[in-house]
Amino acid sequence: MKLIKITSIALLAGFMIADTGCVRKLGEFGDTNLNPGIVAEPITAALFTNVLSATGGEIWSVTGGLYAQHYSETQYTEASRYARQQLDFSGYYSGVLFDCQNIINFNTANPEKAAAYGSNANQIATARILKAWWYLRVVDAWGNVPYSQALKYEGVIPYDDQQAIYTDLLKELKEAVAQFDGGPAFQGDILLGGDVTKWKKFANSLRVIMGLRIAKADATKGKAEVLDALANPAGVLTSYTEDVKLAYPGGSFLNPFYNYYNITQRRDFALSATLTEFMNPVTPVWAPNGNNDKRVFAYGSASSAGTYVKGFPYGLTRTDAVNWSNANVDWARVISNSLRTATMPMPLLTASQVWLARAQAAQMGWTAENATTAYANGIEQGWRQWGVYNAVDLAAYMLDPDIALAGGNQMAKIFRQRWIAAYPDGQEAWDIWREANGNGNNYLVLTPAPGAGLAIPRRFGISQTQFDLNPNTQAVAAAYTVSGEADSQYARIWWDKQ
Amino acid sequence: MRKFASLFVMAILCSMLVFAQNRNVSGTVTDANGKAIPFASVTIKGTKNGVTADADGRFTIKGVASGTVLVITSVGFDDREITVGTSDNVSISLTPTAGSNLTEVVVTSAFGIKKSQRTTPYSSQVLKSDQLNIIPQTNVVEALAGKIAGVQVRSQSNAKLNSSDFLRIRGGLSLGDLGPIFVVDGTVINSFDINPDDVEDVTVLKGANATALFGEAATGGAIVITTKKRAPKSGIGVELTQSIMADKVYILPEYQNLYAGGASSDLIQYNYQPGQPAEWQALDGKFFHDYTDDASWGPRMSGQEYIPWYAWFPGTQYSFKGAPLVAQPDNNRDFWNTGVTTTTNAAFSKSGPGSNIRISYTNQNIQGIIPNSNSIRHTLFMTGSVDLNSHFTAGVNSTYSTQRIRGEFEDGYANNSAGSFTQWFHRDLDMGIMKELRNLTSPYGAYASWNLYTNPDGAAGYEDIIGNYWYNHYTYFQNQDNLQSRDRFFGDFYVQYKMNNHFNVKATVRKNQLTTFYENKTTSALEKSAGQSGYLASYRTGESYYREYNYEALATYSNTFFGNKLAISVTGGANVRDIEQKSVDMSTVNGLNIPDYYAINNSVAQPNIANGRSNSKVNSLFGSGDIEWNKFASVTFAVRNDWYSANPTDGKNVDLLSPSVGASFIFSEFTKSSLPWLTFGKLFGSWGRKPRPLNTYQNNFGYSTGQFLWNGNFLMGTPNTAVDPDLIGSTVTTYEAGIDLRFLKGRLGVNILYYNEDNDGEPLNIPVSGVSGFTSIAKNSVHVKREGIEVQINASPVKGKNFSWDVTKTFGYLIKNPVISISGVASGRQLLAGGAFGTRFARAFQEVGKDWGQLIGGGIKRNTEGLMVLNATTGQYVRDLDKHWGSVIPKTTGGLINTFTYKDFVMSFSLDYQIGGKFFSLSEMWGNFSGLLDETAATNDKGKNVRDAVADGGGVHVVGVSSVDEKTPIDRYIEAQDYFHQFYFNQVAEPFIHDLTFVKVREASLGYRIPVKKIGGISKYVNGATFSVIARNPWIIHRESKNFDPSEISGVQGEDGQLPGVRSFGASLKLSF
Repeated sequence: MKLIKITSIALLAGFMIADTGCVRKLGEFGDTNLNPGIVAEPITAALFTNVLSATGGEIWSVTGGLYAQHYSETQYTEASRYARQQLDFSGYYSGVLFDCQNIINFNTANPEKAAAYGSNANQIATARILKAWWYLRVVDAWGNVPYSQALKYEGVIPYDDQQAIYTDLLKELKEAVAQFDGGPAFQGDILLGGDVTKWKKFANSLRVIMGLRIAKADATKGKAEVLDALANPAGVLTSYTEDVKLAYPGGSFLNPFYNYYNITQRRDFALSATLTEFMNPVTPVWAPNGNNDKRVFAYGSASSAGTYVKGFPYGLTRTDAVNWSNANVDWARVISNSLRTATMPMPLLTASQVWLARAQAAQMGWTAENATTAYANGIEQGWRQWGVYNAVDLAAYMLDPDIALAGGNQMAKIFRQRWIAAYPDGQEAWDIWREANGNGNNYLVLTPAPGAGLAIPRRFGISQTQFDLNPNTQAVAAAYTVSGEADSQYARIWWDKQ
Repeated sequence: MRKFASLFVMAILCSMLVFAQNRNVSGTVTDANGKAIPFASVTIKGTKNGVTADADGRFTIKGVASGTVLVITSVGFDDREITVGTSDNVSISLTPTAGSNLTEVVVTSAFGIKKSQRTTPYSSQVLKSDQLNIIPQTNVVEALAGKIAGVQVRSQSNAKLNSSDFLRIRGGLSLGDLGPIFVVDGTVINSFDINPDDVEDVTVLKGANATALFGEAATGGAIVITTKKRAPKSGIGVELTQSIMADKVYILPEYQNLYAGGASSDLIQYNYQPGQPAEWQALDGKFFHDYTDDASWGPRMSGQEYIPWYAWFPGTQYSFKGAPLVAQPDNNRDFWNTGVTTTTNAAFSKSGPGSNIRISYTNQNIQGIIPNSNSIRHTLFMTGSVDLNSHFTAGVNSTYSTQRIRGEFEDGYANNSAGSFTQWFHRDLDMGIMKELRNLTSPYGAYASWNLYTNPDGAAGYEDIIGNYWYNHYTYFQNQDNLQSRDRFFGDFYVQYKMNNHFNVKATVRKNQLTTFYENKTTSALEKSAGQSGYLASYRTGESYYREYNYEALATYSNTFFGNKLAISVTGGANVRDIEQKSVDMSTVNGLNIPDYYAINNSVAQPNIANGRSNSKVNSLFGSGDIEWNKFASVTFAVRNDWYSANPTDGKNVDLLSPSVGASFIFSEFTKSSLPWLTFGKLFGSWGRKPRPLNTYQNNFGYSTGQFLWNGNFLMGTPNTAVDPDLIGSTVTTYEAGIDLRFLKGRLGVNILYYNEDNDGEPLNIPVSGVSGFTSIAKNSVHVKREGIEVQINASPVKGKNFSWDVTKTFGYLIKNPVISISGVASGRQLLAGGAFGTRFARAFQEVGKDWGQLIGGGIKRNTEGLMVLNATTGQYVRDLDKHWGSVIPKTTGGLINTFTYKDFVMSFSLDYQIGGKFFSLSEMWGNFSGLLDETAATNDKGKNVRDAVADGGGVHVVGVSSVDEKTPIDRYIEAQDYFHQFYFNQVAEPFIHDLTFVKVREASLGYRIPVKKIGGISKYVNGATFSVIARNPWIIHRESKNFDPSEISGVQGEDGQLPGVRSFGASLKLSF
């Protein structure tokens, strides 16, 4: 008996001590730790679609649109009264920018696998253009941002000088246009349907816009880029039929304006009176300075009278805004009721914008083009883009002294039209306002929100998160000091020269 | 693994061949009430042969013949001798030593291993059923509050029927908050599904030294619960308990009652416009206050006539009539229902030689204080064991609980009850009328609301006076139907083979399964009835399934040597854990096609559909043991090795070892003569390590596809968490030392303990700047320490025949809880908890070099002399961007349980307190912004209301220095709205930061033991009856924050719109037959 007892204890002791073979087995779990909900490698076409799906929402860039006075806030008015905005740019990097980079990385590391979704060259070229477009949104809002070391898994990296970023973005766009090959188009292209020529035109047009943007800071470079882009055989956008627009399918993916007003039923934002005062028909008391720009009926919902669009006065205090809103329930929602549908396309870049930029380049003497013709084309393409074209009305509009270039103040008129044509891309309009003012000129005047000492911000403050996670943020914040306040929203970024 | 299993089976089979040759006598040692006395010594008189009974009082002694005398001794009881007769079974009942308060306390650890507290070298406070259940609490965490040293309970409002309180042991130990595990009879489950009625006792184990045997699950500590097992006496026991409690809201913010709703401080005259509804003509020329703004910056209320919101809608007695404009001071309080909680428990038990069974059924029914909220829970608990022969015992513990909870319990910013009343509301609203008109609809078909989309003077008709941001609150809760259903099964089945008194083996299978189902419906009428509320008609449903199996084998050997001088007990075992989770979730998108048809396929846009799956396994080997010498010195050790499926499979870091060792020295054995007043004195110390493995799939990097197709194209995003290729598991280390003293036969006991814990390199997702392309990286990063003192005092100041007073006092002090490092986070700062509008105000962070959970945010800037800096132009505060207020964890926590017994009366109450710790109140911020709280209509030092114009002597008085030079004094008045709006606009959180300090009576009970024996007739059937008057949260004695109950703060950083605290009174009757 004793023997059995000892044996069983020994067996249990053996069980505790366990030979190495068993120990190894204890650590074997087969496929248990493979997450069944994921796949190991990306589908580049799906990354591409994902990045494109976000572009439309980016166009409704609220804060820039408030600063440019395209939009007004109707009830909580702090942003339009310039309460300090500390916005985070890191979402661009971890979201769309890294997806663009991932397309490039996967095509480089696994060219055979990636080629299932289009030729490697076409995929990389497209991703470079798209990446440049997104970077431009970031760099124009914040100024110096991480660039050369970004998207490489490392979060503590230097900020790059904005000028260097511009130089590289322009180079990327130029090289991308040259990189496309005759191979299969990139699948998943919900923006331009895999049309390589359209991508080239988009890239060239973007270079024209960028060339003008740096006119105050580096006119030589700007001029060279504009000339080079215009000379590219693929050309630029010239007709509204070529506009780069993201068309929404409806259903699960709704136009953001439609989603905002028609689905969520909020009403925080209105079309700004600054825009409607300039564009409305001449007659109503609402718009004594109106120039009868028919686009106004597309830009916003009509007043109850139907004959004009009642823009919301810009930058009121909360109490004033609520009171005004109560007295004017028919204030203009962004985009007319008939255009604002679930499937309404969002324009990323239009022929109208490009023509007007060319008019400016010609007016500045950068190109040999006829400024007046380009200006007229720009306005006409804009009217056509918004479906309000009518030869008689347009002719009358073009003769209006506030519009006709012949009457002088050409630069101011061109900037004014560029500001209108940017709509509804609020950030682009804010960029244009900053381009227009400086170097001794004041081509586009926007009156700041009412109140002592209020001034329109010239950049976004950097979010606290970046101060926390990337110590290099401190130096950039110090470089953007105004009146003793670091990371000031009133600091001027590189191309926004005084 | 299979090899081990077969070895194990062999061991059992071999052992079965063993039969006793000597005559064995088995027995049970109990007290007069039939309760087991654990670990009693049983010796044969005149010999050194003896055994120690187990934790259940059971023993088997061999070499016994008829006429042998057994001596039974146990601390706190008189020694007893019995003479063995012919029976092989003896029942021994011991009498407590007069005036003594010493008894063996049984500590329960992992796998149900029980040991005596005398040899326990770590913190192991044990709470008995009567201390836990002073009153019937709906959840076990609330019942623990203030009763365990070093434990902070963050209670939640009792209005939330779907949530359990959060329990934090000893401060923070990781980047996030880690709660303890709850272990019921060895099975790990969620605290929410534990029925306090079935709990016999609770052992709280804290550090790695105490919980090493639990493995990684117990990083936050372990609350080890033993259920009631047997009848109070041999034979049959029947107990019935019925309680009922009424719940009323308790602490509410302090409001102003002078000014009505709206943005305009003047009443607006209504002028009827042609084209408007003809019936509105009756109101022509009367006045109304602005209905569109949901703040209370409206006109002063003096009983003047105005048009209330409901007067605009036809069909009621109030239609198209004015009413006097008066304050409704109690409109918040009036909203809430009186809740009713009834609990019925019936327990049946039977114990006999070699078997016992207990069946308990509990029905808990709660009518919540939020309209249309209720919960019904049925719990069926069964436990039983049967001795098949003198060697084999089979047993089962099983709990099945099914619960249905209805109601909407949202307690964040702008929720539809407390979130409105304290953040956006009108002080003139009459809740009685609100309730009366909850079904009122306008001719347009929308429910009438107090907050109109358009003021009627500018409205074309009823379609323009739908709700703006808010509904009638009763209407909302009537049109939002949320149902949750939980079905929990947990329990175990075991077979134990007891070879002899020294050696036994046990095999256990445990299962824990939770199946939940939920569906939320939002009516189409709600969508139609408000403009900017964002509510769309919707239907959401889903199910989740969680299943955990544990297969456990345990072998225990215990014996004494050298004439009982050396006692050895060792346990070895193995465990296999297998967890599987599945879930499905579906919801409609953008509304319902057919109104009020609640089906996923009725979605306007393609519905959201998601599913989740995960599976993980852990294999473990472990061993533990106690070696005790001559009852004064003991060494305890435990070692466990775990192999995790989630850890890297490269071979070098699959497994983690968690050892622990400790020693106790009972020095009072040597001081009996020199210090006779010292009944018991123990010094103890221990060290241990426990594992932190990777989370399931934490080292998997891969892509998933978006659910929706864009014109046939699917979408895929790169995940935002990168994985450090060197990611490995880690361990947490604890040191502890303490002293346990008992005086005067145990009438006074003091236990003081120091702990020091260190968590270094835990695998966590650490945020990185998104410029990397990722927002976080999974890596071994954080290093956190904590160090503190815990004290427990037990005293019986009075112990007489008729009157006795027992008190237990616990106290915990967190000396320090620093975050030593967070590698990979350059700023050394990591967000812990934000809340709504997080970046604007105060948030909780982990900051290197500082104590865990720093509350940081926008403060008021001070100059070098500490004077507030004011904007020279506006007089408003200048923001201090990065103000530190200190940790969110109270340094000091404690509590007191008092029990007074006078004849047949028993009065008990538990009191608990905490000192220190900070929170931010978002509700106060908005309550000031919206002109709701009392400060916004205070009287200033000129005797004028702050809302009066500064020019008229009103305004808020501010004193400070100018922002220009931070020297020039500023002493001025600023307009009330400018003052109270500045905190939001300038992102200043400071006035709304408060201490968590409070002292409250959490539970009180006065019971009367009805002397059934004296009542003729009944005594035949009824053994005992106790009637009690009970109260929950009867009295908050002290609090630093006036508007909220600091013991029930809903978030780690503070509150966002939390539901009010509840005070309850009731009665319970307990009958035993």
